[in-house]
Amino acid sequence: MSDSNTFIAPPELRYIQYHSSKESTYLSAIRQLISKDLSEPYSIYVYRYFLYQWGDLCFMALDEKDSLIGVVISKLEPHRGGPMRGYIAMLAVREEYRGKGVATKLVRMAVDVMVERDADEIALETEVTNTAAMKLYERLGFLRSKRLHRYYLNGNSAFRFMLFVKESTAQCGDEDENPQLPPRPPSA
Amino acid sequence: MAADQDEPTPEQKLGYSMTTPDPRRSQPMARDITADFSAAASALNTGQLVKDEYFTLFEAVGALEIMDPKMDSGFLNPGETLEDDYDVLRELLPEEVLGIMDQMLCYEMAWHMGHPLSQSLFTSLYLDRLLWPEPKTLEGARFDRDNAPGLGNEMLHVVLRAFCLGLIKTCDFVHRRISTEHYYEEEDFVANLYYRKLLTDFEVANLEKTLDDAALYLDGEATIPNKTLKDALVNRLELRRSMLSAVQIDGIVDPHRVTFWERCLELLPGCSKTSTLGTPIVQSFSIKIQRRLASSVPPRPIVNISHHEAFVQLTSLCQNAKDAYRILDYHGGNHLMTFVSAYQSRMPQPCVYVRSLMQSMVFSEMRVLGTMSFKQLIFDDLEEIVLPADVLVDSTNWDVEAPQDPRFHMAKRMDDFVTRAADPFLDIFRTLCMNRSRLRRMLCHLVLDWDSVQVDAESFDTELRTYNKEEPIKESKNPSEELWAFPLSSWAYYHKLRQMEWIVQMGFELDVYLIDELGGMYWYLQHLTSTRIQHLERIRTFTTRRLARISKPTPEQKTAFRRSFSFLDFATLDAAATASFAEGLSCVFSFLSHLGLIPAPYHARPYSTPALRYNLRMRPFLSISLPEVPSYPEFASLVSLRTPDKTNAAPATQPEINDQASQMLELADQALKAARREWEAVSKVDAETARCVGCEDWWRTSAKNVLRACITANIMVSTAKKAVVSAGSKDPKDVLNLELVESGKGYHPWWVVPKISAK
Repeated sequence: MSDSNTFIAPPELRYIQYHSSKESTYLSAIRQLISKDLSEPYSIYVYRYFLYQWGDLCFMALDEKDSLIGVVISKLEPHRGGPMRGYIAMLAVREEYRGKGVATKLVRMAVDVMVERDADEIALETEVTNTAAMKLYERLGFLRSKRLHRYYLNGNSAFRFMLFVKESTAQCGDEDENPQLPPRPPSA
Repeated sequence: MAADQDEPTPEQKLGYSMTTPDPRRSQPMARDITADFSAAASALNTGQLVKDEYFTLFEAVGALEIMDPKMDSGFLNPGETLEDDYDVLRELLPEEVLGIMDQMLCYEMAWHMGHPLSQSLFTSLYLDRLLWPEPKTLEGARFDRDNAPGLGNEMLHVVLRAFCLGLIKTCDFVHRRISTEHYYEEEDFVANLYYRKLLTDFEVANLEKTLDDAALYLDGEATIPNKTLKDALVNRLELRRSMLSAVQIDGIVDPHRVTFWERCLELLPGCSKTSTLGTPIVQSFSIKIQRRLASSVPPRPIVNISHHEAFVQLTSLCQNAKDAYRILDYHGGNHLMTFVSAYQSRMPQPCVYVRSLMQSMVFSEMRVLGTMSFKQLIFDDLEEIVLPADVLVDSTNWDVEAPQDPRFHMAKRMDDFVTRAADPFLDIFRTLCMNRSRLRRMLCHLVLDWDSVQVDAESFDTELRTYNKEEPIKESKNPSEELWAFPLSSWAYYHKLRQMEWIVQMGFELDVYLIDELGGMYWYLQHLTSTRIQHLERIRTFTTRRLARISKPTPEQKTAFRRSFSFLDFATLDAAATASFAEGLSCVFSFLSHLGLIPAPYHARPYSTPALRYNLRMRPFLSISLPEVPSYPEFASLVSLRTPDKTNAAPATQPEINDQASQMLELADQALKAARREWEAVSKVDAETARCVGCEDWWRTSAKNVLRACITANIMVSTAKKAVVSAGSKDPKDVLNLELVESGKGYHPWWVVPKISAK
């Protein structure tokens, strides 16, 4: 049983998988939502880097008017020639919709696809002060694997969160030293 | 790229090749390719990414969008000018000079705290004028640059200039010190100088003289009627001079450097107090300079820290730098390790410059603490831990030149071993000097190195046996079994176990474990320290036997053995105290989860399994040969975790649950009472025995804090015991309050003691 089940997602929201055909409709809203809390915006290339290659690992929450309420952007690829690693790069939910399980739902949708597509492990980083995000991932089964000193541009530190999905992963050697997404304060 | 392969490349279209320039052509033929580009681009879908395999996420993140003011540092808002109109040659009042000096001090400290120069000191228009273009001579480093120096305005040309030059040269030394040592770019420090030189080529003596001249000028200057203001300026110049002398590269390991840091510490309170006299000139710092420093990164804000914060930072820098020199008083390898560890564990941790300084003192220019060879240090450590007065470390072996003599071979093999172990040994000290997060991560790597040092040491041990005529211990019960001392691998194993303990302890300090993991991790800490105790016993057995076989020990031999036994005694006490406390806390957390006051360890989650999460947690240790990590089922049964099987079983009755709870508390109580006795004993040990000469104050503070945490844990358990008794057959959860202490708020970061009280 997951604690996240106690959340009742607002019924009027629709959750849809991204597709590159949706770029003109949603990309600017996605950028806006994610940049809102960043001290420095990501360039368009960062979004396209993820969305063009792993559009199916991006999920959006839309309200009845089809405006963007939340989004998760991720990727999945072999990590240094070893395990298949999923990586949750960005997660954002509009402020007035937070605390209603929208982010959890989005993350679960991305994680489900990763698992289906044979991920061995899933990683991400969050700011150490971002209690809500940490709780979200911990409830799902992620552990804090390490702390990253002054990881973000604002000088804050991060936790690397990890989730092993398959038995085979356990015996793999060391994790990478380098974070996957160069630091910006997260917005989730 | 998307364009057809047969299409000429843009370079071909332009009529020249980047790789083979045509010397006949002095100028390329330029042609507007906008139309071609638009045509090619129209073949792409929106959002389609055209990239080769070398375009990684890193490149994507580094890309900038031109004309976006948040990304494009060259972007000018309507009406905005490219350059600042602040006149650096304007006449300055004494209070303005004071204000500027203190502003610079704030930015200097921001740099020390890890911010780039482009967001701190290099935003100063005064410093910019001195450093760019690069001055060829020290005289050329003037605010009026190539113009002939005009008369007057000495507050600017003499006083502020001297201060600025002293500051820049200090930064030069600081930058060079940090760059020589191990640090993490951007995490600890940003080394980028943006193609500026920090007066690197100029002699420090000339800069000291410039500062002295400026102080002399102020001294004879009658036009500053306010004596306090004048003194404040003079003090700042002296502070600059003392800092400059303190950080200079040559002779960094000279113990006399302390006097300069002491002088800084004397001057600082006065400087701090008089900072209100200054008039800051905000316009003399400008973000516009960034455009020239780093055009390929987005504009980033100036980092402003308060005067107060800057003085606190500088004071702690000076104090820590001064304290660092205490390390030079060497008393042995274990004292040295305690020193570095105790020094670095103080909160807040010393800044990156001081941590680099400590690395340099431990080892630079092939010397340990400026005087010893690395071989001396390792031999000293081997002697204290495993080889007191042993033939393997007998210095006369190195005088033997006859190859048939076993001592010749022992010397050779021991030298080889030192070569093998030197880097991993040095890395322990280096690792301890990293920021706390990196310390844990680096230990996870280091422990693997030590695992292989241990394996290699076994081969050395086996080979050395043929030269030192070691006789094995034969058990009377099982005479065919031979026990060998394996001194070198025992030494390696000892250090490896310490590192494994630190990794677990740093996990507590860095708040890496979730609440349901604490019980298990304290159990594992207890497991590691118990393993260390057994290992110490093994070493003691062989050392005792070797001493017994020496018919008439010389006074030197006696001293060496006494020292080694004293080490073994203290290490055993320390390990036992740690094991007991860890065991006690493990039981406390098991008790709490048993009652459902905290979640059960590795309880079910939507993704992953308890065993997978356990494996993830144990990953740093999984590939270590010894001690082996227990499998999840073993671990679960040993830690009396509530395994999924148990949760599925029919719920026990309340009296049964309470009975089990009481038993758990009883175990916790016993362990914590023992822990309290042992930590009391630890905290009373003299400095020589505790291997903390030189850092006794920090070490003792830490030991006392552990004792406090231990006493608190004892109180919590007796509170819980009473509550469980009073609950009778009811649920004790209803009579107990649990409060988890926030990370870093307890008595000691390695000991997480939950607050339990009766409702």
